[in-house]
Amino acid sequence: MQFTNGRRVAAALLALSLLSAACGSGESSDAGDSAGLTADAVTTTVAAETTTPESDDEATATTEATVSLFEGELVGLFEVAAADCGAADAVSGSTFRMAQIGATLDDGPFIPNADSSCGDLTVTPLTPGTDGGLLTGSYQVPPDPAFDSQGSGLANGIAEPVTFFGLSFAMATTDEAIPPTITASDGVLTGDLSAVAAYYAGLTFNQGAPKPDGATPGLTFEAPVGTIDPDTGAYVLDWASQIVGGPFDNFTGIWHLEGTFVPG
Amino acid sequence: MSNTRRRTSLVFIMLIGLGLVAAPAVFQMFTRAPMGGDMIDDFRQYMTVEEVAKFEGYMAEIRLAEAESREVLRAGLVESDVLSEAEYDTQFILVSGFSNAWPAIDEDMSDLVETMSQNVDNFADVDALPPFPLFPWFFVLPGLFVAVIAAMALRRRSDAAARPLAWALVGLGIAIALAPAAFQMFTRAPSGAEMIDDFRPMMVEERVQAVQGYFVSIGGAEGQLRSSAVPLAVESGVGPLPAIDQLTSDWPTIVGEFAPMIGTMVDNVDNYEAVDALPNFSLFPWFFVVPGVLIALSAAQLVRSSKE
Repeated sequence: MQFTNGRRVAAALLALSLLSAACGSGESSDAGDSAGLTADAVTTTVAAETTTPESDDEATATTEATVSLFEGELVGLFEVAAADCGAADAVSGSTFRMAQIGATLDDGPFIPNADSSCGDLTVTPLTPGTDGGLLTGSYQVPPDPAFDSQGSGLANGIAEPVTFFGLSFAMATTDEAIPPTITASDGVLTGDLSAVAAYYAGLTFNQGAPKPDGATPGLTFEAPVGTIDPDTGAYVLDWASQIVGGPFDNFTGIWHLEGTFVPG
Repeated sequence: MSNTRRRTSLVFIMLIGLGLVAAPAVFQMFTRAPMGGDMIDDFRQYMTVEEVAKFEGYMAEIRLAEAESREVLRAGLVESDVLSEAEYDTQFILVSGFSNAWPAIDEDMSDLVETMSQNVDNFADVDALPPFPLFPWFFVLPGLFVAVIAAMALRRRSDAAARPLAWALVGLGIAIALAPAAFQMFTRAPSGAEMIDDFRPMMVEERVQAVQGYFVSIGGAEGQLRSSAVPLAVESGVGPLPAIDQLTSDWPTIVGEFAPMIGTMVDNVDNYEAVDALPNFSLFPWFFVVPGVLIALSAAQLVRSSKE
């Protein structure tokens, strides 16, 4: 993970300087015991308590700065949590759905996938692939060949290929675009997933947000959107990408990934 | 021949040459012809008797499965009180929706495949023409030669001095006039015109999007038949369902064949429009014959005058 958010770094430096000043003055600081990195929270908390110059009655001001490992550019693995369709169509986990021509993202219409195990057939559940999820900062290119003899996609790094209309479609990232990039700012995710592609029926469909040339045709997102828990790394990432050309021209792939981010 | 008449003839020939040079620009052939070439390349794999027969076979297979889903599967489940008609239509909404839509889908898709079948020979004729991207140059280069030679002849002071150039123009004119025959354009170009006419109703965005929708409809129904309806039928002792079983068995192959074909249609709507915007293919041979004959006759007159 890299810290690229200048404001956060500045806050951390300020906090450290305050802590240094407090320790130097000999004032006690119970916050000092809690400072540090905890493996579970993966959060560095630096707190300092110091006496304000104007205060003669031992009033203190506490300055706390929190520097999360889940800030700035997130390079690592966005684990794909398997979808759980639930008993009452309450889908959780990572999913894919496809909107038909002229659809809206909220209301569809969406293409039903009779091979979906979800009650709502328009939702296709995803399960983690051999890599466990989506890597940022590097590619997960499909195997060569990318298809079996019938045209099913074989890429299985990010997610296992899923059956859609009798053939498997697979997800990978192509080196014809920049590597997937996700950044976090105050728990909000954005980035560039232009390298994401789906492989189906012997054909490749870019599913990036934005497209590799920066375009955002139709319902395509300018960038993926999501959130990340600064304490746990639990994330949710959504994007839509309209297909350009081929049998699904103007259909839109709607991707929802969730799971935990693991710094690389 | 008087100097004035000679000059007039040569200017006339030069103008014809310049007309040939300008024709591709006027008809936007530099952009449209390569798009036509792309379309021919993309469709080549589908426009064969074997491929079309394969798609006709797939349509027949889907037709049988759809009929069986209504007449055997649905009827059997209803008659054996497993499901009411309404319950069937709700539980297997993709299948029943497909059945409702099938007559229109069948008519449209069969028309498409039949049109492909009827144009296999036409396509072969067009494909046997010189590569489309070269088409503009078949006008530009001869036209340029004619114009330059005519301009050179204009600078000669006498008929006798211009005679060799006049002979060259006669040769060029004859070559231009005969080019369509050499490339069998009189038979092939009308084939292209017929093919363009036949595909005109299909290669429009609305029709292509409808075909995309058919694919979704058929795919959804096949999936629901395979994953839900047929297992229920088997469990209920309804069947046999050989046509549906056959479709299920072949479906991955059908998807793998149909999807790229539909994709080819989608991707070539623009290319088709570009080709359709060119002058009628049947006229193309005459775009060479008429100027070629005019050049040859005018130049021959110059040669004859120079001998007098």
